[in-house]
Amino acid sequence: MAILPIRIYPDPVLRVKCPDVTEFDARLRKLAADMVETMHAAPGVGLAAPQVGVEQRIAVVDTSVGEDPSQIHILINPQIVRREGLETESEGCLSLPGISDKVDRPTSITVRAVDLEGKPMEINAEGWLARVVCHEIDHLDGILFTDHLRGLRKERARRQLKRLAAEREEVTA
Amino acid sequence: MGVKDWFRGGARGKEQEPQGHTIDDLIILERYGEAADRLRTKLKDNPQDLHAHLKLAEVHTQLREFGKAVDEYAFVADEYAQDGFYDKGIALLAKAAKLAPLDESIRFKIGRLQREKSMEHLRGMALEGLRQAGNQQAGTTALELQRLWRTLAGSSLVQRLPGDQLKRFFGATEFFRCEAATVLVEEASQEPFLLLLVRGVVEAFIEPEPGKSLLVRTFSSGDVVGEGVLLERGVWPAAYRATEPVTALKLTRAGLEKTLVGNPDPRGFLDALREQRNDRDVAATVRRLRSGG
Repeated sequence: MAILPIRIYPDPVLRVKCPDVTEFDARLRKLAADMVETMHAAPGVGLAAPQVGVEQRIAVVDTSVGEDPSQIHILINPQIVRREGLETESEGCLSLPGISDKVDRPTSITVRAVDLEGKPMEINAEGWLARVVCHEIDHLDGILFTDHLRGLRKERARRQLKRLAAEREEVTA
Repeated sequence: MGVKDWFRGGARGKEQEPQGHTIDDLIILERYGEAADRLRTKLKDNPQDLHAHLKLAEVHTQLREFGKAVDEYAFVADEYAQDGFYDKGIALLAKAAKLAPLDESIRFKIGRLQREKSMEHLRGMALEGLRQAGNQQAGTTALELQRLWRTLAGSSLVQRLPGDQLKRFFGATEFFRCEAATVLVEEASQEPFLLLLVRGVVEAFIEPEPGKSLLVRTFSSGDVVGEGVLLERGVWPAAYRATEPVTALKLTRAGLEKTLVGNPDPRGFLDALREQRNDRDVAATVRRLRSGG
């Protein structure tokens, strides 16, 4: 297993609408394992493949941050098939360090996905887990949580993103 | 070989959208030229995308193309105003005015939107009043009330009264309808009421000799008659008849009292009614006609 480098905004891979995973092999299992390790090391509660530079529909979620292995979810080709309710809570993102803001998300969702063997599965998620799953599925469509902000919050996020982009440019230079 | 390389060559559906930075990202990254190109392409597909117009205005501003930015802001301001969002429209024009401080047309547009906004406020209040008046008479639909308002909006009385007073006034009136040739009131009658004509034509006339009718003046939509009789307790200076079917709002003495109870500015309200002066003008003309002047 390995810790993968996390892509930071404005890396264009974060804007990719990822295609479905079609090959369920050892490489996919290794990628999933690496993503889980990377997420725990960050530490984070979720990680989507584009955040480690992979343009495939795979995301890992663990709201226990490594405390409880039963809470690790590996979602391949996930789709939200039911959304209910709405609540506003703060979110951050490993690809947008230092930026957090309140985002509206459904309180309860049902997600259909496949596991590492390609077998269909369904997850019902509520509250914080539902929020994390929505956040990660957004990543698979090239959407960042800041895209959901409006008005003054959007303006503030834009300033923060600009600062982040400038910092990244300095690092790259 | 990085993990990414395993998948980069993977199957990608034909429906995939163009990849890369979003327009917002390009703006954040100060790649304004590319952002402008993307926005223009987006607007070709959907010219009514107001968010795209606003972003394009922002991009033109950054590129110091102020004229183009002003055009975009003005376009969106007009669209907002058409949907009733006057404040948003005015705020955008104020932004545009900062970019082009010498452009008189922007100040003119701001003034126009402010006037429209004030009329919109008036409309809301007036419709509420008309609804109250309409409730007293069956068959007055919301659509009809809207039509009434459109007809009355240009009236000098309506333009003179603030929204709350207009609501009081309309709320205290009752609908009055009559057919052509109906005599509304006889000369020298003391019947105290005032009519605000909505539709139709009313003529003031006198009969200097039996059987001979002399036209003094005609009144139409938006005109007020009877204010002197109602407010000054005078007499009708002439006889009034409808020359075509007439719809009017009628204010009686009881209605007038209703408008004055709890009115924060009763004097202002009465002054606005008095300023109509139509009864006085008719009385003066009648005196002149009778004296052979």
